[in-house]
Amino acid sequence: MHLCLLACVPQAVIAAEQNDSDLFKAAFIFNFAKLTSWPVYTWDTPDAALILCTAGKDKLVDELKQLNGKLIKGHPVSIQSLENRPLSENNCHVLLVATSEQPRFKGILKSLPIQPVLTVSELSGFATDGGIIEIFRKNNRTRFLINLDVARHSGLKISSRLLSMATVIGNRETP
Amino acid sequence: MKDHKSGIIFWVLSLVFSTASFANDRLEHFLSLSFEELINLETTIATATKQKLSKVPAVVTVITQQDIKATGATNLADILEGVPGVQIRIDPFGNRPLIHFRGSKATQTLLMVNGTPIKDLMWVFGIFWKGLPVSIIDRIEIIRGPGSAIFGADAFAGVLNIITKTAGKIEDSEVAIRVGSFATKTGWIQHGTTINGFDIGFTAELHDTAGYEPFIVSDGQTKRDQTFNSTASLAPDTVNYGWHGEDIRFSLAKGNWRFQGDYTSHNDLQTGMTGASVFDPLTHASDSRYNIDLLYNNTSFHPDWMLNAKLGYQNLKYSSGPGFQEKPSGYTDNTGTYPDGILNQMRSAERRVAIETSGLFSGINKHAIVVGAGYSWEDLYYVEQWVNSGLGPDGVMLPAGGPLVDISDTAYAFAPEKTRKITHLFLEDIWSISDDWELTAGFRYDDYSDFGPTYNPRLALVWQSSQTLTTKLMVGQAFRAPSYQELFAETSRALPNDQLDAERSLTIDLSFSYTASRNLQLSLNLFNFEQSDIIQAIDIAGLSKKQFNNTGNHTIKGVELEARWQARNNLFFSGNYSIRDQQNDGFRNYQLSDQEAYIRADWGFLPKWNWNIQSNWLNERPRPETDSRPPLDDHFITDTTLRYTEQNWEFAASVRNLFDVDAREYSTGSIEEDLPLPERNFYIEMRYDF
Repeated sequence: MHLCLLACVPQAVIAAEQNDSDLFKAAFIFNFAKLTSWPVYTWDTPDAALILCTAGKDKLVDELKQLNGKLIKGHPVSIQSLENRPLSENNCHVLLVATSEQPRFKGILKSLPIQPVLTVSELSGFATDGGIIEIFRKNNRTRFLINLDVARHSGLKISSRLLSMATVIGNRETP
Repeated sequence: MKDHKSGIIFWVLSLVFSTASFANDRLEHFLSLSFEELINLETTIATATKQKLSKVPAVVTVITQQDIKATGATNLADILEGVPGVQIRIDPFGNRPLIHFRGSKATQTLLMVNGTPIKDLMWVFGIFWKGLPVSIIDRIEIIRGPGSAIFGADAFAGVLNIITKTAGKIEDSEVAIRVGSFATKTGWIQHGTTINGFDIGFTAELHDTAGYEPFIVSDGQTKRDQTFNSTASLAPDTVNYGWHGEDIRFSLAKGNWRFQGDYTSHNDLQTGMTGASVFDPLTHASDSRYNIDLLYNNTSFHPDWMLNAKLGYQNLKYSSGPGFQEKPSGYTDNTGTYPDGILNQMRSAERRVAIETSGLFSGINKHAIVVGAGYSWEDLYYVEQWVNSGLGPDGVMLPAGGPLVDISDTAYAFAPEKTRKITHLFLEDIWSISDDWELTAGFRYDDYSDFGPTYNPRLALVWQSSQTLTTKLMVGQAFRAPSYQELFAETSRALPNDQLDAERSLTIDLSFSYTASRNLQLSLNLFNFEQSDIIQAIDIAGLSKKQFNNTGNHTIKGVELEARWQARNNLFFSGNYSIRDQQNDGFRNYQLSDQEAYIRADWGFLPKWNWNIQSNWLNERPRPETDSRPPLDDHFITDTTLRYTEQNWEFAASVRNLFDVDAREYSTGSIEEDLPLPERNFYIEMRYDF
């Protein structure tokens, strides 16, 4: 059968080298969502979608699209790009703010709807300026800050396992 | 323990999937890991290999839950048939699925559950080993080749690590049943939740089967009957292999800590035949095992250090019940006639306490260094034996036809109550020499209180030859610790030898992994596996029986080929072929074939449906010179499984040995026509997730 496999396959296409660091970050975001609890009323049905919104564009946003349809606590992930629509029109559960949104991210955070949204970004200062999880790279490794006050105020519960791996900060400017 | 594997097991094995370099596979693998595992994985890769994934310094295979579901495996043994170089051999005693790697003995396979070896002191593989139910399995990590430099004893020809579903990994609740041929009924539940910040996981499976009933024309007693003109043998008849099993696992995780408690037992287990392949309808055996583990894992202990620690306790109990009936009722020899047959009731219990701590240091540029140490205390603390033949408690021959006599706590019991202590240390450095070259060097030192110290190094050079080709050259030394049976316990066939040293091996692997296209992955592996100090029972002048001794050397050379092809979005093929060359030098394991092949196809012909067909081929098995029977025929065994997944429901139906092939397991001359394997059989399965 191996001979057949070798012979039956059309000319190989060389796979592009994957950027593993973005793949890891995407897997991190998947785990952030897994290890966060939303209030019980968040979903009408156990199999309703977990909406993962993205604001702006970068490689991580591209990579994240692969999470579409994956299950988190029974909820299929639905990736939705905010494009230019306001946040309030989307029922986001998770929001990834892309690196392209540096000038706008504070405005985005202020326009968050009332329901709890787990905000994540690689932008420097994100967690100290009102975001919940800030991803950064150190020694070639993906690390993250969690602003626990913001998470708590928004009604999200973050697993102790996630917190044990994070640098946890508070923030006096939280509303 | 998937989050907190003991020591280096994690860091090395978590890289396993790196062999598959399909982007989709990688993400799938990342998502299947717990967050702790993901962080560990990234750190290892980031510090040592600059994020190129196809470089793990070992020959590895990973089996996922998807593989298990698709192929319709119901037991660990079923799924391992598809791994190159692995053969599952059915033992006529207890119908045990023994796991052999690369033509070697089953005792040369290291089997771990969540990084904890599940062997026992006395019988190594568990006297009533029945494999493991797949409902508890999250994934299986397999290394072909030596692993003693990392895992210590018995990682001689291959290593299996079964990762179970534990807290934080079980996302939904499931109830399921499966019913099938041989009056087999299985039910299981799993549940995962979070309470007060504690992740909780629970799985339980109950299994009951009458077992398949091979028809045996002549058994170990038949020939004796012919010689002595007696009629004691129960053959021809069918053998009964029924049993009942329970498997219950509970786990708890919070922050850096994790607790796991596992209980598994077999009851009413019919061993069917004795070790000498004589019908034994009397034995209804039982065993139980529990493990309690406390684990600590800190990925940010220090900017340059990750830390793992584990404290574990294991307790094992065995009982042969009313058996073993070593010879049938009416058996006669020169001491007289035994109306109840020769009876040998054995009960024993063992316990183990093990502690291990390890750290991954990433403070030196281009190096990932793993260092660890541990201590294990293993105690055969209870041995009970009743016999009605042989030597009694006072060393005097028992009269034929007499009652059962207790010989526990005498020199004539099957084993002494004894303790073994093991101290170990290990160190491994993964050095990223350049973008394309990586060198792994490591060693492990084990000191056994009974047979002494052993030192096992390994070296692996990984070369990213091109974007699509990875070449690996690996050299590793390994050992198998002599069992209590070999060291201290007299059996009907052999005397022990407390002067035994470990069995040793030196293996060289040369491996090529080639990504032919986005959808096609090929690999080729060549190995030279040299064993020395092989432990075998041999004739020694002046001794009444054979005695275990460290004897000669034996070399096995082999080639393993693998392919994985995603032909279409909904069509996947994989297959492998292995061939080995070994001398007929008295150490060759004739029970195993020298060639095997496997092919598998998965077709998602409609959304929500998957159809799988797999076929496993074993080459003919020749006989040793002393056996005049013709070689045992080769065979193909084909299975097919259809699976349908709705929102919360999942249904599967499977036919095993689809073409009803008359396949046989190689057996010694006692079973003249060799042990028949199960005929065509079926099951259906239903799961409900909520």
